[in-house]
Amino acid sequence: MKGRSCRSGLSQNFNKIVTSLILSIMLSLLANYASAQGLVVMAKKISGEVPSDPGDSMWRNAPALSIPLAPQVMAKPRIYDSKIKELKVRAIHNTRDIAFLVEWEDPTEDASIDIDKFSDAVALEFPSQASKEKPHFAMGDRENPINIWFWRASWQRTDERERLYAMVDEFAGGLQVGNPVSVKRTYPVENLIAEGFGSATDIKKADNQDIMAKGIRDGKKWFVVFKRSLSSSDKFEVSFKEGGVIPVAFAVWDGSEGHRGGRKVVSTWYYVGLETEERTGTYVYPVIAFLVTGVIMAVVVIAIRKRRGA
Amino acid sequence: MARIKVRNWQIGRDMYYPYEEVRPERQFAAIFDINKCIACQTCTMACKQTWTTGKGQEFMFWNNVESKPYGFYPLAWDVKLLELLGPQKWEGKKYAGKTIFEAAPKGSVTQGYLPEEEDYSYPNVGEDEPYGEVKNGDYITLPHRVWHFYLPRICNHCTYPACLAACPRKAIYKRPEDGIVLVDQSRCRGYKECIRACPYKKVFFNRTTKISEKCIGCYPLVEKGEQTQCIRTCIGRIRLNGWIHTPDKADPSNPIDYLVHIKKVALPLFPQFGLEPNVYYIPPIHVPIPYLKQLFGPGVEDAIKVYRNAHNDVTLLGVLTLFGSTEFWVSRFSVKNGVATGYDAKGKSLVSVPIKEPVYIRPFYDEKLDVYRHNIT
Repeated sequence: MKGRSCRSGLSQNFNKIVTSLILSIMLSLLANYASAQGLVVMAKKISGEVPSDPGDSMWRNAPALSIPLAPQVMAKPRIYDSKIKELKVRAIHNTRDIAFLVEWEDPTEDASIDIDKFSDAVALEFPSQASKEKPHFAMGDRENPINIWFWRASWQRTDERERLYAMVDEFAGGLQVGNPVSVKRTYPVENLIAEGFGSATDIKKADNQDIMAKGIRDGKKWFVVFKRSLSSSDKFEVSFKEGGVIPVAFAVWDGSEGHRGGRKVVSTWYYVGLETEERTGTYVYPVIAFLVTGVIMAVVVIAIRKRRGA
Repeated sequence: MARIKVRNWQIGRDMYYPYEEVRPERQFAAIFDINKCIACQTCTMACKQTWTTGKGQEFMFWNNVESKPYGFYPLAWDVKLLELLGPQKWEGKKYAGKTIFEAAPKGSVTQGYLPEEEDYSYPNVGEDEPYGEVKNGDYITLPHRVWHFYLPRICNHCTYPACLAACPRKAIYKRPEDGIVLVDQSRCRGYKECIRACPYKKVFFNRTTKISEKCIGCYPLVEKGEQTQCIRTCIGRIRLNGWIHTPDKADPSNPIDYLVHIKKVALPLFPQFGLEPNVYYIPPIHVPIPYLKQLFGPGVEDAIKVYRNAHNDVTLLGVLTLFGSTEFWVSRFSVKNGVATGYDAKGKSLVSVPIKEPVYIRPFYDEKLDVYRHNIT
C-alpha cells in the first residue's frame, strides 16, 4: 500500500483533483439547495443599479426560490382550492436598493374591477420594525405588525378607455376622503401595514410612494418587480441590512377565480438573505467544473498512454 | 368567525349571526303602503338628485321602484337568491327554514351571489308587466283577473345586516343612535363581499371610486328630526318614517309600533332571509296570497284583513292619514275627534290632519272676481 501510494506524484495529484472536484460539486449543490428546496432566497449583491423591469437580463443571474402556495383557510371569507399553486421569487440588492421579482403562472389576465370582476394581484409580506418577534405569517398580530407590498394589475391598466360620463357632478365619496383604493397612484403598488385579518391599512399617500412596482405578462405568466430602498426609518415598514436575513411571505390573487381580500392563496414565512459580497460563484462554478473535468480527462488520457507506452 | 345565537322576532325564533345581538338606542324604520304606490319614481329621483349624481353612480339607485312580479333591480335579485336557498318552510309564525346566514356555503358568511354589471343597466325592466294573460274580449272586473304591483325599495337598515356581517374589514357599521347602516368610505377596500351578501342588493359598487356605497338613510335629515328625501317627497303619501321597538316594548302611541306590532298591518320584506329588515310594507290587497307570503311572510292574510277593515278603525285611519303629512319625524301620534295629530320626540305637535276632509262648496260664478269656476269643491 505504502509503495503504491508513493509510486507516482501523478496519482497523488489525481487524488487531490478528485477531492477538490467533489468538494466544489458539493458546495455548489449546497448553495443550490438553499434556493431550490430551502427557505432562503439570496438577494444577489451587485454594484450597479438594481433592475426595475421584470424583463431585465440581470434577473437571470439571481437565484430563484420556488414557493408553494395554499388557499387561505384561516379566516372567513376563505377558499378551499385554486389554480394558483406556486410562485418563484428572486432578489437583487446593491446596498442601497433592493428589488424582488415574483413570477407565477396564471392563464387568465384579469385587470378589470367591474362589479363581478376582480384583479390579479400579488403581495410580499415582511415583519415591520415595530414587531417584537416574528409575527404570525397570516397578516401579523397586535404585538407584531407586518408590512405588505401589494401590487394589483388593475392599478397599471392603461388600455382602459376613459369612460364617457353622463354625470358631471364631482361628488365621489371615496375620492373625497382620499381612500387609497380610489385615488390615482404613481405606481401600481400599495404600502400597507396590518395587525391581523381585516386590518390592512395604507400608510403612504398614493402621490408619495416609496415602493416602485411593475408587472408584465409573458405567455401565461405574471412577472412583477418590487423595488425599494434597503433601509427605512418608518417603524411600520420593513428595513433590510446587508448580510441580514428577513422573513418574507407571499400571497397571490387570481381575479378570474373571484379572489379578493381574504380569498387568496398564501405561503408561510420564508426568508430573504442579503449577500455581503459580490459572488461570482453561481456562474463561475460550472466553468470551473467544466475546466476541471477537462483537466482530469486529459490527465487520465496521458496516464493511460504512458502505461501503454511502458 | 363566531356563530352567535340572536333573537329575530320577525321569524319567531333565535338564529345564528356572526355578532352578538346589540340593538341600537333607536332603530330607523319606515312603512310603505304598497296599495297607494303608483311608481311615479318621485322618490327615486329625489334620492338620485340628492345623493347619487357623481361619476360612477350612473346606474346606482339607492331608492328604486320596481314592478312585481317581473320587475327587478338589479335583474332577478330576489328570485336568484330564492333559488340558491331552495324551498324553505314556515311553521305558523315561526320560520322553519334556513336564513342566509344559516345556509352560507363553506368559507362564506352568507348565502348570496354577486350581480353582473349589466344587471343594473335596466332599473325599470318588467315595468307594468302583469301576471296572467289578457285575453281577447276581457273586460275589467274586481278583483282584476291579471295583477301586478309596485315595490318601492330602499336599504332596510337591518337589525342584522348581512353586508356588515360579510365585510372582512369591518368597514360597515350600524349607528348606535339610530340604527342606520353605513359604509365607511375611507375603510372600504372594494372586496364586494357586502354586495354579494346583501339579499336586497342595496349595497352598490362605484366603479369610479372602486368601493361600495349605499343608502345612508338621509342621516343628516334624521339627525335634524326630519324624514328622508324619498319619504317626504312621496306624492302618493305612501310612506312614513319612525322609530321601531321590539314587539315586547311596542308603544301603541308610536305610529310604527302601532302599525307593525299592534295592528300587524305592515310586514317586513323577505323576513325569512333573517336580517330583520326595518322597512315594512302594507301588502297589496289584490295580489294572490301565496306570492305575498313568499315576499312578506305568514302575516299577510291578517294584514290584508286589517287593512280592508280600516274604514271601521278610526285610529288606524288616523295613522295612515299622517303618512306624507309632514316632513318632520313623527315619534308619537294621537287620534281625537276625527283628527290625527303627529308629535315629535319632545311631545311638540307637528301636524294635525282631519281623517275626513271637510267639503267646501264654492259658487260656480264668483261675483267678486267675476270669474266662473271649473271646480267648485
